[in-house]
Amino acid sequence: MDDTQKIVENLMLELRRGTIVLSVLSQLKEPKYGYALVQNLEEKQVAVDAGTLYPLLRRLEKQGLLHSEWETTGAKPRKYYVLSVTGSEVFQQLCKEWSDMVERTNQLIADGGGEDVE
Amino acid sequence: MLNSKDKNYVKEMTDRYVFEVTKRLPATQKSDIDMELRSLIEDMTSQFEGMEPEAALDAVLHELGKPADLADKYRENRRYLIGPAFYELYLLVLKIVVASVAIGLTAALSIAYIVSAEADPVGFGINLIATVLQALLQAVAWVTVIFAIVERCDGKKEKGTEESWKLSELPPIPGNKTIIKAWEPLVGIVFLVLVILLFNTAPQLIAVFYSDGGQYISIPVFDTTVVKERLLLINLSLSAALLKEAFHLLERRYTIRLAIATTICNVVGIGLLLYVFSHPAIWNPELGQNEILAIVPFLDMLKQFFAGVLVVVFLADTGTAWYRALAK
Repeated sequence: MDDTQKIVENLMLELRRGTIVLSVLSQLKEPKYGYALVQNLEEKQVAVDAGTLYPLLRRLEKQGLLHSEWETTGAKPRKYYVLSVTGSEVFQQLCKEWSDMVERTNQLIADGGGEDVE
Repeated sequence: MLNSKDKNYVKEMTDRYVFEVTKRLPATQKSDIDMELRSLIEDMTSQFEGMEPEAALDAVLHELGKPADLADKYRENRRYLIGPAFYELYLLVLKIVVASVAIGLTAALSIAYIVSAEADPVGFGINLIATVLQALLQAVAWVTVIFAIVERCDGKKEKGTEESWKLSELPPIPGNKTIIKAWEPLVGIVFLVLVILLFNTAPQLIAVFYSDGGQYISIPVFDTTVVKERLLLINLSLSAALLKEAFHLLERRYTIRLAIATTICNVVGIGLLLYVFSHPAIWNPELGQNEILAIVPFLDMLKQFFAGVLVVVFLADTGTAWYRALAK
C-alpha cells in the first residue's frame, strides 16, 4: 500500500510538472511579481513552490513567452512578469490542446471503465 | 555558528543563503537573481505574521531548500557530464581504450620482464598491477575529459538525439559478406595500440627471442636510434591504421565510403611506412650476423622484400574493402 502511494505521488508530480506552464501563463495577463503569483496560485489550490516558479519564470522569459520589468519605486524592488504577444498566442494554443487532451483522456477512462475499478 | 539571538541574524543569514545560491550561477544572472531572491525571502517572511523574524526566516529558507538545489533549478543547462547524444559512443570508446591499455600494457610489461631475465615474479606482479591500474585510471580520465569537452562544444545544437531521418535512409540488412563483426576491428585496435606502445616506450623489445641454455636472449629487429629519429612518422602511420580500424568499428559493414576511407588510410599509413623503412640503417645489423638463429635467412629475405610485402598488404587490404563493399 505504501509503495502504491509512492508511485501515485511520483506520477502526480509528473502530471503537475506538465501543467505548471499552463497554470503560470494563465495568471500572467496582468503583470505580477513572482511571489504574488505563488500566492495567487495557492489561493486557487495549485501549489507551486517559489524555488520552482522563479527559475521557471526566467526560462519562459528567455523563450520569449514573458516580459519582465523591475519595479523599484515601491518599498522593495520587485520583478514583474507579464505575457508577451508570443506568450499570449502560445497560451491560447496550449489551452486548446489542453481541453482536447482532457476530453480524449476522459473518453479513454470512460471507455475503459477505469474510473471505478476496485 | 550564528546565534538566532544575534541582532544581525536575519540580514546575515539572508546574505549567506543568497550568496550560496548565486555563487553557482553564471555572472550574467548573478545580480538579477540576487535581487530577486532577497525580495522573495522578504515577501515570504512577511507571511509569517506574529512569528519572531528569525524563526520566520528559518522557516522560509528551509522551504526554499538547499542552496545548491535551488541554483540547479536556475541553471537550466545540463547537469550531466556526458549527455545521451554521446553516451553510447563514450561507452564504446571507453571499452576499447580500457581493453587496449590493459591488454597492451600487460603484454608489453610481460615481454619486458621475460627479456630482462630478472627472477622476481612477486615484484613483477605488484609492479604490473600498479602500472596497469594507474594507466587505466589515466585512460578513463582522458576519455571522459575529451567527451565532456565535446559535449560542451556541441551544446549550441539542440539535443542531438532527435536528428531527422528518412525512411529511405534505412540501410538494408547487410549480407554475410558485408557485415563487420565488432571483434575484428577491436582486435586490430588492441594490436595497434600495443605496437604504438612498443615503438614509443621500448622499441628494443621488438626483437627476435631465443633461448640459450635456459636464458632468453633477444636481438632487436630495428636500430633503435633510427626508430627514434623516425618515430613521428611511425606514429602517424600507425595512427592512420588505427583510424581505419575505428572507421570499421563505427560503420560495422563494408560500404563504398568505408572503402574510400580505407584506401586513404592505407595510402597514408603504408606510404609512410615505406618511407620509414627506406632508411638503410633501420635494421639492426646484429641480426644478420647471428649464426645461431635459424630464421636469419628468412629475416634477410624479409628485409629485402619488405617494401614488396607492404605493397602486397596494401593491395590485399584495400582490395578486400572494395570487393566486399561492391559484393551484394
